[in-house]
Amino acid sequence: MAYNILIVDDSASMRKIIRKTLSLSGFQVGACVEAANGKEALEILQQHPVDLVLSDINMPEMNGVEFLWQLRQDPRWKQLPVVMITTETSEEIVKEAIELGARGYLRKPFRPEQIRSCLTEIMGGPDAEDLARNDEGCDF
Amino acid sequence: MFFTPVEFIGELQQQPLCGCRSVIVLKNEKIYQAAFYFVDAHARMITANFLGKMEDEVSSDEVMDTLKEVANMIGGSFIYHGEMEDYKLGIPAFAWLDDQAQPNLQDGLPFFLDGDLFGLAVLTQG
Repeated sequence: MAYNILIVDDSASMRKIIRKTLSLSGFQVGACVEAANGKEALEILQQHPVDLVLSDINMPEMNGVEFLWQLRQDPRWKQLPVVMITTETSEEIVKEAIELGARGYLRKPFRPEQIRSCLTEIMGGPDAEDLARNDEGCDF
Repeated sequence: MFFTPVEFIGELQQQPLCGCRSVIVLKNEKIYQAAFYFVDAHARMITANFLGKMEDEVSSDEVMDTLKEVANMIGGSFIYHGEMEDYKLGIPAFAWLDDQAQPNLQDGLPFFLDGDLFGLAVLTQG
């Protein structure tokens, strides 16, 4: 099964890197849509339903934590898996993201095998159990 | 994505860096500003390698965007490794430098690649 993914990051370069890393990772990606901040992501989600969201935290307009909060207020997206991709790893932010229902956390920069393990662990798949036994997946 | 280790020993040149600056703020009760100055050619090299392109294919917008992301990643790394758990990152900013806006090389930590000046890191408390 291929998953439709929304990438949310204010850096166009980083969005490109995430796309490229996803394609190198071997994770089954269907359509990929992009947004430059949380506000734009909420608008895009209205028109493009996705299976998974990869979101930065530190963004202008609406940051990743505010976006996650907004997402969880809408019954359509309450269960939508969200993985935070960020450079920030302060306990306070991680705790906030967990409480809001983030499913995982990847720290930039990351390797293709890390993103694959993390997403496979969350979305399931033939090798999800193997991946769960090693350290390559997401944090949390 | 491309990474290279920089060195902190090299010949300090007197000529200006003539490139660009990306800045990130780290906020708590105290506010720190980390500014990274890059020689133009090296800024393009970082961008090209970051995006997997040739250096002559990168646009100014891509340099700006990539160098902001570099500041963001270094700022995040400061917080992660530098016992600054309670700090939060601001939104990175970027500027091209003209001759009047050159940093004083003595004010920061110059870094080198193969002995050549690659850039300068300046941490200030504001």
